[in-house]
Amino acid sequence: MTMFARRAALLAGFLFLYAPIALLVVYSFNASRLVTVWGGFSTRWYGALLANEQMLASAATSLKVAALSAALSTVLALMAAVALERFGRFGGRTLFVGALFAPIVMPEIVLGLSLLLVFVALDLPRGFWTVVAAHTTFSLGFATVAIRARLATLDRSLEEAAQDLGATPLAAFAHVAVPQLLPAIAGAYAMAFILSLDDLVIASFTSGPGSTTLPMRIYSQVRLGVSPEINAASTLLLAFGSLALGALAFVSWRRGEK
Amino acid sequence: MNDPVLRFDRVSKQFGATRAVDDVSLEVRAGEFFALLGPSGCGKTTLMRMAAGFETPDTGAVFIDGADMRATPPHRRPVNMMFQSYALFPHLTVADNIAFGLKRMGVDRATIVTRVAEMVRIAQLQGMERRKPAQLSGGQRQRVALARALARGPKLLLLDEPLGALDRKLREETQFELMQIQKKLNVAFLVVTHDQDEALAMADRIAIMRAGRIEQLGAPGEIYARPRTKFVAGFVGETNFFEGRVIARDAHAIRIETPDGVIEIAHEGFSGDHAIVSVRPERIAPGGAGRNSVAGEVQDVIFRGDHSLARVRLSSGALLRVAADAGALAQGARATFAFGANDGVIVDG
Repeated sequence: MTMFARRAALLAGFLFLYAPIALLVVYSFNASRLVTVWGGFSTRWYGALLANEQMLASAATSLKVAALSAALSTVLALMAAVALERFGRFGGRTLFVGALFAPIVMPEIVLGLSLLLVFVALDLPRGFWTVVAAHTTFSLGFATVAIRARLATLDRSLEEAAQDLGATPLAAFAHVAVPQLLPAIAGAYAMAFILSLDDLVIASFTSGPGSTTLPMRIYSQVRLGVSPEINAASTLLLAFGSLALGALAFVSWRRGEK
Repeated sequence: MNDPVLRFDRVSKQFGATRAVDDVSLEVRAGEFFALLGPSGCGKTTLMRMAAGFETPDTGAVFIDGADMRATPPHRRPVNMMFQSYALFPHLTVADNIAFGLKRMGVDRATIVTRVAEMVRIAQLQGMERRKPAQLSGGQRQRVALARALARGPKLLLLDEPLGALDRKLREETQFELMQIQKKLNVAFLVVTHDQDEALAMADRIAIMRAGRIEQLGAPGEIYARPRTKFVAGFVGETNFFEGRVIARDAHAIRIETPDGVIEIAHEGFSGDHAIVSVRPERIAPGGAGRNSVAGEVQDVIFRGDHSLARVRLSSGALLRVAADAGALAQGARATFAFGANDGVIVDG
């Protein structure tokens, strides 16, 4: 009986978490235009989505922003992690740590607003690059946490051994530390990518004409009424994120096997 | 006379409040097997890391092959080091680990391949070339670390506790291997160890370190037979100390009044009026004959295979360690133990 109760509790939990998402996926294949009435299986909304140039342009923008901002924040995070782990106590270290991790705890709305004010003050035209900059800032803290945790556990004697064998400190880091940091770097990139991909608030504040991201497009369309086309777009977004996560898990599993 | 491969000239290094290395001068000669021996925290590893370039002396200078190394970073020093943890690169195969240092030298591929094959043969790693360090046993990892460090053909190899991670049986085997490779390649070895047996077995010369200073430097036999200080006598091998006031002396011997009676010990120019004498357990014989004799009760006996080591409670309460034939001493027996005037060595406190 307890066995049954436990199973039921688990099932309820999973239902609570995933039923809405499952529903969204199911209804994206709905032939009917009405969101709540099942009219048979169809992929017509995917077809419609592929014909919706605005939606496609937003998806492309989102992917480009995510790819670029994730790359930038991963590189910066690696540098920040090295500074924090390898350079001991330098002047302004506490301030540096605070500045780095503040965006993690700061409300997104505050971050978005403050970035908007900065861009206005600097008279920067808002568009693609301001969103990239904003997302880099916002995901940097998360990426740093991921890389720094791994860097802290690296055996320093490996890099010393590389130097002893004739590698400059930089070459030793590149040849010996970076390969071992690779899973963490990939993880940091994936995290920054996903954070950027599903951000709505910060993008709303910092984007301009012609740089509407997918979440912004979806949100604005939903205000006009939920259409099955949105369900299809959300399903694709979901599939994309799951694939990225799955690939990451596979890579780290393979490394663990070896 | 050739320059020594490595020379420390009055080097000191301070870590916070502790003086890790305190005014040490030392030379390692070409082709020599040199051991730095001492308890943990005595500064021996710091001294070795100064030779590799991972620590800089606060004062003093390090010379390698006659050249001042003060401004030379680790990657430009003509020495290589074998790390205590081996520090093998986990993402590279055995062959790539060995080739790592060669690749940094900018030698051509063919040379690297032949050199790696040669090191693989010397370290007896045939068939392991494509494995990753995680797929090797402890002994194999140790040999990869050695091969990698020797691949660049250094004149001096620094080895930090090279046998520390191996089990007892493998350790002895590896001692012989290390000695053979060292002689064959004619590379000077500077070994850091806290294991006196290891140092006595392998080294041509040993420097005993304590609290950042070199307490005694010499050949293993000399250090064992003629320790200069109480610390050296106690650290290298087992020993007994007798201590007391000098009550009589002539040109060859002194008589010391100890809590266990007066003993007579040979000396060469000892002039103090208080003496500490070290007597090795194997120099003490159960029975009566001998210039000096002490009496006591056998407290316990440890069987050591070829001999037994007995601890004897003397009348003063001190414990005397005596090596005897297995079975010669029984627990609880009362006996006298004798040693000659030449069986003891006067040491500094």
